[in-house]
Amino acid sequence: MKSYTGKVLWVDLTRGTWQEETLSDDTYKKYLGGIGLGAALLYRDMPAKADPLGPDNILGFMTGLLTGAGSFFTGRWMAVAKSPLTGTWGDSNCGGTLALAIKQCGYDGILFKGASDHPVYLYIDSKGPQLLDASPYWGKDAVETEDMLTEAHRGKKKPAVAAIGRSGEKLSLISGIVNDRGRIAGRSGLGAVMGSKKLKAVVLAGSQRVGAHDPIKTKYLSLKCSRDVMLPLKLMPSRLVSMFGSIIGHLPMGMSQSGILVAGIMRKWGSVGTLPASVGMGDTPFKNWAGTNRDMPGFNQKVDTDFILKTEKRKYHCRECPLGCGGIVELEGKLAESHKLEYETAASFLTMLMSTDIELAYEMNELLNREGMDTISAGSCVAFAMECFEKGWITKEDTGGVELTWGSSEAIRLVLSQMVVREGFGALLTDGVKRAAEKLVPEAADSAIHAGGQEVAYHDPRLDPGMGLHASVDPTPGRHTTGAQLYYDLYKLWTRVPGLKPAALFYPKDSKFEADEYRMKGAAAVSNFTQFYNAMGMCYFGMLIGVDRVPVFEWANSVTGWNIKPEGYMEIGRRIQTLRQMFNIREGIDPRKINVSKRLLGVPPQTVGPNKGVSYDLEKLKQGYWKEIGWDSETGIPTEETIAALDLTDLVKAGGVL
Amino acid sequence: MTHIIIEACTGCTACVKICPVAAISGERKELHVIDAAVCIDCGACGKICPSAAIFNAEGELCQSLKKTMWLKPVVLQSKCVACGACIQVCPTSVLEFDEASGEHVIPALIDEKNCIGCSFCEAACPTHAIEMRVLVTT
Ligand code: SF4
Repeated sequence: MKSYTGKVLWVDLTRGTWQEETLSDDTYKKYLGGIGLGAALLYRDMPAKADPLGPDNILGFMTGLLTGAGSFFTGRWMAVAKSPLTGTWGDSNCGGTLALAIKQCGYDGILFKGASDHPVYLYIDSKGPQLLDASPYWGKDAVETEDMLTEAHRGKKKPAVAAIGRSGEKLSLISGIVNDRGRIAGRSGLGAVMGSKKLKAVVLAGSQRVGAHDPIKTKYLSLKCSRDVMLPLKLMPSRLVSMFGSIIGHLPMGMSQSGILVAGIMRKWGSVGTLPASVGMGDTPFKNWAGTNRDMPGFNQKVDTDFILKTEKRKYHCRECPLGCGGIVELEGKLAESHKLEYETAASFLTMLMSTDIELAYEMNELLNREGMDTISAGSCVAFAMECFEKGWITKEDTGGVELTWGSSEAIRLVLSQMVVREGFGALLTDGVKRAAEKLVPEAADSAIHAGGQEVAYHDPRLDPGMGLHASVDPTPGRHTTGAQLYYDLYKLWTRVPGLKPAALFYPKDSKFEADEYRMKGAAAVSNFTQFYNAMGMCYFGMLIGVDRVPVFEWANSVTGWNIKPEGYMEIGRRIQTLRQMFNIREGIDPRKINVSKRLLGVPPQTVGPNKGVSYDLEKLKQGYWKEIGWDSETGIPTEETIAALDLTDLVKAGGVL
Repeated sequence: MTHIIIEACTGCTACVKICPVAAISGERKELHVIDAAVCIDCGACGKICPSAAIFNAEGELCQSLKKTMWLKPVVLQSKCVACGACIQVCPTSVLEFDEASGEHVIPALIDEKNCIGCSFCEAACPTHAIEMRVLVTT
């Protein structure tokens, strides 16, 4: 028995029909699962230049190759489609219970094409799929929808549900897909794709078993992994973590970091536990990326991440995860139950907006999770609007009398509440900063911070230029999960993959901005590895612990019975990355034109703060990356030799590009 | 090969009621059939059948067993890492995280009556934190 089912389900929403497609073992060996299988199927079946909000777009719910087989960190599913926000390849990753639920229905992925003319949802149980009327749920938020559908289908097995909220229904280009009462596949605007297909939800109640080629070996690896990542680490209080961040920020040398620290922080606080250190070292952006931590002195005292622990009722673990970085929080009298803030959401609603109102951040997090809007993009939109208001490009006449001043809780609440339902002044921002800027004075474009149309996640490329590089070169721009120099240090790929150099413990800070062979090889390796582990269904937080402790390559072989070396899996990652890039090329995207906004390149350089005086040449880094990954170093288009070496020629030719 | 029902079936419908995936059909007092495409081999039908009419996937005749003797999961706190694999594979959703069990919650059998003793949870647990035992109720 292998860890994949060998089948995907295709649902045609225009016709209201569905059919299974059986895939060969070779297909899995070539693309694995998750994002890889998604890329192969979308490239094969989606017509070029499909309208992302039209029936030709394909929306896939994909599971990883490892999901359900007894490994750890593998409860992540992946939404794939053409992104309506960027016009590029789009994907977004989410945890909870959905990934395994897809496999328990007997599929490695469920893909939707066409569009329904009325609201529908897909229900699958042991008897197979059904498309049912979703009119009673249309207009409800995602959590309400999930609760109602769980109740309606509560048989012996409790179903897993993914749904869109009202933001997706209203085709907000920054909307996502929500499961497990507020976890969201938020990036790439895929909620709008679901909304455009009038697909309100997917309800999965299958009970099929998922196996592994060698379950004993798989479990042995897991047991060892759980011991290796859950060292009894007494962590410092958050105040000391912030001091640690400031010290690193002031040191003339950079320091490579350890994955075990990541595991400890995640277990204790979740991703928000990195906020104090990130603020201290200049990783977290302030004031729409124009400010620094000097603009909010004492931020770490005012926003104490230990406050989050005090409001946490219990930890939340995605399926198959021993870390449990999530948490269910309660705010007395305000919020009975909510998923706790992620780092990105905290940066989005606090530092980006110059706010210290953490309770408001909790409330807005819950609002956006329910309505299904990406908190990263949404915070950037509000920050953009505040900057425009300060500069006089947006006035009180536009906002209906509201002062959009930095840090104003009233303004933040009002604008976000309008944005999620595309109403009032907020409607201007519902489709992201790039489109909002196009409706204002031309100068506003410089204040709209994005890459290729997607708001950039909150890790400052002036501190880690790898963040700026990957947010620009990855086929889904603007993401923080696709690569960074920090990740090269943390993934520790050199412990498994021959030919990669270990990161130095200390290095001169300036060297980070070099496009030298070590860094560019590292950047390409990080990309390839990211695609590989996304195809396996792994969590990125889990991977940050490092492959020396999390045996992803070994699991891959034990669940499938294959005998592929780590470098072989890295090559499959390169195949997936190249195919995603070819998807963009087929769409007519020019990789040279996708860049993070100038502000993130230090143009102009900051005059104070940890990143004072920093500016760097992104083009040089992009060219170095393209060369190392085997794409044309001038154009960013994968070369014919690379396409042939990755055995993609037939697929790419059939797609009409070669 | 999945579970199958033979002619000894009296059509008492006990198996229909316990099957978690609705794989069994038939008229009352007539021979029932198991849909092989739906059956998940949980074995509940074999344990509940009073007429020795069900064979398991290995071709062995299933033994009828009093419900009080069915094996039920016991979660060993010291080994559990709260990954929830057991909760998700349970075909009757009788395991759930126990909110009173501490910061990193651990699963508990919340609905013992509906547990069919299939041992799927035990098989899915990556850390061997589940043992199947006959629970003694006091
Ligand atoms: S580390 Fe956090 S996000 Fe990742 S799988 Fe575990 S609980 Fe989910």
